[in-house]
Amino acid sequence: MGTTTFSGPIKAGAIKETTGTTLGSDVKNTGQVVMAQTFSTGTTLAGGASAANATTVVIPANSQIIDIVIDKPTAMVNATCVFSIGDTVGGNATFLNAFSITVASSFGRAYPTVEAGGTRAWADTGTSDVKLTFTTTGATTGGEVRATILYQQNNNLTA
Amino acid sequence: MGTTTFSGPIKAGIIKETTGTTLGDNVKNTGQVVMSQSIMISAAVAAGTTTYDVGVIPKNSQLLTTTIRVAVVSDQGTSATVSVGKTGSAAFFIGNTNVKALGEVSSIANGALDQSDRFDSDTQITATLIAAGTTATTGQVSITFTYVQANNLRDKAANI
Repeated sequence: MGTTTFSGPIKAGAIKETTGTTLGSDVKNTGQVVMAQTFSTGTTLAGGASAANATTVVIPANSQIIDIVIDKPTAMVNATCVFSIGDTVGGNATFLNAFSITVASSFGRAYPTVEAGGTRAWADTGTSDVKLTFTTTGATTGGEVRATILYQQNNNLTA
Repeated sequence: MGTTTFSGPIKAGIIKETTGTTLGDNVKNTGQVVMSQSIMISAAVAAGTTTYDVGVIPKNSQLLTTTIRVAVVSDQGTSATVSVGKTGSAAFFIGNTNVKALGEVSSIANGALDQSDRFDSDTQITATLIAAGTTATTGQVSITFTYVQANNLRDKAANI
């Protein structure tokens, strides 16, 4: 299947600019498309703790991370996986810091909240593209984690 | 960076219309792009009530989530809260949420669920910061809402 690629960001809404004060008539109502990228740990967890592993996920500069969804298609084996997501420049736990995935939690989905003790960089990923990494601790002998990062591209959120 | 803007809604899927009964061949499989709008608030404000426009959700849209994320705590002297609502009803979607502690609230109040399924007109989503005590010198809160644009959700006929 072919893929249609835009440089983006992509916005949609019938009113592009605010030129007055009447909702539905002349007040901007565009929103931004939510983007997603996913990486998998593959078979890495079979080997226990691992140092920063580069992923193929690159978040564009000035983006806002909306959520990180953790899927476990295969349950952890032998030990809790303590899972962190960082980037190749900012550190190993920039976005997710030591999120525990227990054996008992089995397979399924998890939603880390409050950025799971990360460095709270979700609101603005910074002025450069960031290439994500994952790091694990714990003597796992099996299991797989898929992490999906939902974000707004280059919305450059500022107070 | 430039931005590409469509009037939308934007859909994707390789089968646009159902012309038969074979999945993957002639049964529509388009989905709709999820949209979002966000603002960031500096919580370093004087005591009182401050209202912010978050964005306008287009009519006939379905609100999926609203989120208050406190990434930097407010050091307001007595209290500081943020709510998410709409014009005329400041806490319609999320009630007053303490922003003197790190945290994230992502929910829609029960009383707002019905409207959230379908807005019958363009609606301004607002955030309201209520602060008391000594003026804060720090604090950062982001407000995000996600939605399906103009999907005009209505009761669907049951399968025959």
